[in-house]
Parts: sequence; C-alpha cells; structure tokens
Amino acid sequence: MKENLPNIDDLFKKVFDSADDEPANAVWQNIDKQLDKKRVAFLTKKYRKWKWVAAACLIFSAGMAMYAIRAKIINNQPDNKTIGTFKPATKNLPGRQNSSTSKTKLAGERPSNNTAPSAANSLEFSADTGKAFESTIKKEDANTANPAVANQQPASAVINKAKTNENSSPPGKAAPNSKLFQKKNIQQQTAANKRQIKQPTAINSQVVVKGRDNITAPKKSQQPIVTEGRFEPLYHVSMAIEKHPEVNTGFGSAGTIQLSESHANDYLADLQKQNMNRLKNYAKSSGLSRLSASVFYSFESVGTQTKNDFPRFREDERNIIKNNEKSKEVSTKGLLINLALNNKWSIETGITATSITTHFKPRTIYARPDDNGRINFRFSCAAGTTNLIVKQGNPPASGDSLHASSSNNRLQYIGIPLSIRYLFTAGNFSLQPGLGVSLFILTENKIETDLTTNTGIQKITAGNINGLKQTYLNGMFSLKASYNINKFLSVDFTPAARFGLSSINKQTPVKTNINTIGAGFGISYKIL
Amino acid sequence: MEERTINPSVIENLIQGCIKGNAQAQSDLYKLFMQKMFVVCLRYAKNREEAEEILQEGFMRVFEFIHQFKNEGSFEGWIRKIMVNCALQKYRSKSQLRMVVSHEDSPYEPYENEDIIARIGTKELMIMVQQLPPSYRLVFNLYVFEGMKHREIAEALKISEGTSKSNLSDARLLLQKAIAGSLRVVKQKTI
Repeated sequence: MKENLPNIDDLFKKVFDSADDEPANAVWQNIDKQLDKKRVAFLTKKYRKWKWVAAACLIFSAGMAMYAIRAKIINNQPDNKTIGTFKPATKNLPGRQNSSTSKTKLAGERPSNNTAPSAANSLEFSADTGKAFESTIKKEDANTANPAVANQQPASAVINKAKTNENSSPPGKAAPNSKLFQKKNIQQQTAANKRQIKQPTAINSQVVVKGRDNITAPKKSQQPIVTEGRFEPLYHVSMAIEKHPEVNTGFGSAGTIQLSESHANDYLADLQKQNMNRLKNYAKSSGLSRLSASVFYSFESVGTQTKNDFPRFREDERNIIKNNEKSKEVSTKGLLINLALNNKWSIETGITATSITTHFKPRTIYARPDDNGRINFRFSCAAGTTNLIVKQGNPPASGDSLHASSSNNRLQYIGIPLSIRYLFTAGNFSLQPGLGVSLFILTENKIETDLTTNTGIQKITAGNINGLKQTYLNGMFSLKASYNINKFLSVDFTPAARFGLSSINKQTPVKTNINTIGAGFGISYKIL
Repeated sequence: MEERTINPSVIENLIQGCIKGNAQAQSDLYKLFMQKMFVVCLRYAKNREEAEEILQEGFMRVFEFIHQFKNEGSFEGWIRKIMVNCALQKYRSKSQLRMVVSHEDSPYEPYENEDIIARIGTKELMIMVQQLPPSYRLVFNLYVFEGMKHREIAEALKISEGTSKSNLSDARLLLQKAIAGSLRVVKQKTI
C-alpha cells in the first residue's frame, strides 16, 4: 500500500488544482453589508469627536442665549431705589387728585441712570416720547400759572435753570419776558424733540401733550407692563394715552393734556407702583414667571419597536430577540429651565439623565465569528450585539453554546430636551401641554450575564455593544400640571409620552426605536 | 490560474480601487477570485456552509488589509494565504484532537489517478477530504496543497512535528480506504 501513497497526494492535488466551485450569493451580500458597516464605522469614528464638539457648542449656545435673555430681563426690571426716590416735587396741585385716583393702567418709566432732579425726568420723558407726539414746554408766568409752585421757587431761578439746561446759555442770566420766553422755548423744545435729544429742563414747567390725534407711533420702552392680566412691553405715556382715553378725559379737553411737571412726576410714580403691583399680583396669581427652573424624576414604561436589520445568525431573528426580553425599566431625572416667551407660550430646555435597563430570560448563546474572524460567544439583543470573553480551557469553536441564566442590558443617556409649552391657568393651578424633541447622547452601555460553563457560573460584563449609535432623537409630548405653593415654588406632575424619531442602533441584527410613556414629579422655582 | 489569463494591470487597478474603498472594485475582485478560493475553503471545511463562512471572513480580511499587499508575489497567492489562515484560525482549537485509526489492511487494487478521477469524480473526492477529522484534514491540506514542511505545519498548528507526520499518515490511510471503498461500489455497480 505504501507505494501508492504518493499517488494519493498527486491525485488530490491534480483534482483540486483544476477545480472550481461557486459559493452562494449570500456570501457576497454578507461581505457587502459588512463592508458598508466598516465604512460607517470608519466615518463614525472619524466624526465622533466632531459630534461632541457640536454637542458642546449646542449646550454653550443654549447657555449663552439663556444668559442673554436673562440679562435682558434683569435690565428691563425697574430700579426699586429709583422708584423709591422718585417723589413728586409738589403736593396738592391741580389735577393731582385726578392722577392719584384715576384707575388708569398705564406705566411710565424713569431712566435708571438718571441723576437729574425730578423735573428733568419729566422732560426727558417728553423728549423720549417726542418721537411719538409733539410736546412742548410751555413756560408761563409762575405766579399766574401756578401760584403754589411759584411760592416754592422763584420764576427767575426757574428761567435761569431752564436756560442753562436747554439753551446752554450762561447761568445767572436774567429772565426774559414771559411771552417771549414761551415762544422761544416752544421753538427750542420742538427742535429738540425733532432731534430727539434728551435734555433736562425747567422745574415747574408744564408738559403739554397735544391731542391723541397726534399720537401716531408709540414708543416701546424697556420695561414690561402687565395690562389686562397679560405681559406687554411698556409704552410711554403717549401710547398709554392712546390706549386709555380716560386719561385724556381727566386732564384736558379737545385732545390736549396739560400736566404740570410735578404732577407728571406724581403721575408716573403712581403708575410705576400700580404697574409693579399688578405685575407681582399677576405673576403670583397665574403662576407664570419669566424664568423658572425645575428638577424632576420620572418613571417610564418602555415599548421597543424593532425590525430586522442585518441578522447574521438564527438567534438574530427579530421575534427571537423580542421573546428573550423579560422586562424593561426606564427612569429619567433632570433639570429643566422654562423661559416665558409671552403670557401663554414658553420654551423649555435643560439636561436629563436617562437609564434604560432590560432584563432577559434564561437563554442559550452561541460562539460566532466576529467581524475580524475571531470566534467568541455572542450575545444578541435589541440594543445590538456584543462578544463575551469566557474563561475556559479551549477557545470556542463556531457553533459552541453556553447557557446564560441571568442577563441584563443597561443603557445610559444624557438628554437635551427642547419643547414649547402653552399655559392654561386657574387660580393656583396651571396646565402646560408641551411638544418637543430630545437629543440623547449615549454615556454608558453594558451587558451583564451569568454563564454556566464547565468550571461553574461565570459573571461576564461586556461594556461595548456593537451597533449602538452615540446619539438618537426622541419626539415628546407632555402635559405639565402645576400647583403654586407660594410665589416662588410650585409642584409639578408631568405625564409624558416619548417616541423614537431615530433608532438607537444601526447595522445590527434588529433596528430598535424606543417609545416610552410615563409620569414625572418635580418642583419648580421661579427665578424671575 | 485565473490570474494568468487576466492582464496584471487590471488586477492592479482593482487593488487600487479596493484600497480607495470603491464598492465596484471590491465586487469585481470578489467575482474574479471567489470560485478558486471557494475550493480552497472547501478543502479545509467540514461542509459547504463552513466553507462559505471561511470565504466570507477571508475576503473581509482581503479588503481590510489589501493596502498591505506589496506586489512581491502573485496576488492570488496572497489571497490564498489569507484564506488558509482563516481556515486555520477556525479549526486550530480542534487540531489537538487525535483520532485512533485502525490500521487493518484493506484490499486495495492499484489504479491510475486518471482512472480514479474518471470513476469517482471531483465532488466525491472533496467529500472524502471534508470527512477527515479536522486535525488530519489540516495537516493533509497544508502538506499536500500548500507545500509546507512538517516543521512549518507544527509551528502553524502548535503541534509537534511527530504529530504532524502521524496525522498526515493517518489522513492518507483514511483517504485510501475511502477511495478503495468507493471504487468497490463503482465496480459492483458496473458488474
């Protein structure tokens, strides 16, 4: 027989050297899929750092925007000290009663950086509003026009001051003839108003606001005002007069209002107080604040939506994967910032931490070749696949199996939600339905399993699930119910439904979208 | 063999395309060598399914490391070496198995190789190789088809040279018995 042995070698060599055989088409399809996966993995790796840079930029931009808005709101808040010192120069003047008792809903603003005396406020005010209406300073003889004021301050002094401030003429100059001064002053003030120059002017002068018909373009001020239970930008007296004809009725006729300067001061001070009170009362009663922060914790129930993506082995089939899952737990906690856009609409953003834990039934896992040809026990689930390194004598061969008695998969995400809410209020209760999206950034993923091997039970932890995406998007609908405990604090209950806008994985046996429904509990603090 | 009939510049273009990740070049390269390489895989595998797994893994490595091909030898040889390495990796863990073979002499009628091929056929011969125990099959393939020495086989499979020689001898015996059995069946059918 031995003499025939070389023939065996030659025989097989001759046969197989000339042999051809064609593999199944599925081989190339699998190769093509894996090549695509590698391309995607390469691109993902290449741009992963840019993802983080983009996320950081997004957070930074959101922070800067919130800071800018907050700074703007703070700047617009009235200066309490200024309001406190903003006292009328005279009391018991004609019309004073009207202003103090009128039920007007107007507000005026005193510039916070104003160091001039109260009279200057009046004129600065009129100069500001001069864009909207024509105002003049009518200087009349103090003794005839207003004896009470005249008693307090000599006309010459008034004239001198007026000339100093308005005409930049040297101080101490004698008072001109009252009619002449009146005419000159009217011309000057008109010109000044046209140039929109803020200038302090004479004490005891009278502010003449010519009729409502002349009020065309109300000037928006920096201060918010609450009117009819709504936040509105503050308007100067021109707009207020336009909106509230009763003011005209109280002060003048034929569309002309004449306010003494001290009366104007009183009037503005009253309006300031009324406005602030309304603002506070409204904010307190409605629960609305410009800026609020809330912390919350929510329990959620999960329903995963899976579809076959790239199953390679029989255990990758969608139904098998679904059947292997026993239960899921999801919890979310976080900090949210709510910024009111107006009295009804607000936007909400912040940062959340979400943990998703999936428990699996006892199952059999198989040794399979990975993308690099290495054979390891492969754990396949809805999140993706992972290779488990099992300590045993011989390396596993393809098809070897082990029993996994207990397994769980944990995913942790940082979320950046952005939603828009609409406010309904009723006393201390408020209801805010909201709609938005959340960007979830993967921070941790792992699979823990107890494997029964020849040497006993091994607890294996794998921290790298193949195919999990670093980010995914969720849509969100929620209904936030709040109760105001006091003017700063409120408790919230927020049922919410989240639905996956994108899958949490790709190039895996199954593509998975996560949908949740749950309820959150939280406390809100009104910052502004 | 295919490579001899193909212009080397075509292969060079395909290699460059694969290095750039061109999907069409990858597909063309696969089509060019798949049949030849599949036979290699079949010799090392237990069945067609396993051979296809080896082929798949082998081509993945080809595309992954194609930039490392230095043009120092034939491209077909380079691919073939990758396929063999994939197969060795797959079966190395089982190569320690040692099969006890009875050395009972069976009646063997000497035939010329051409006669055997004519009577048995390539497919049946392939099945005979595939039915060898993994350790025998590996040693037989490496020695006969890859032209490796026992020392090299011993290093590749992490076994001793003696085991390699013994496995080769046993493999030959098993194949001879299988061929003899097939020839008897053919002869009986003819009669």
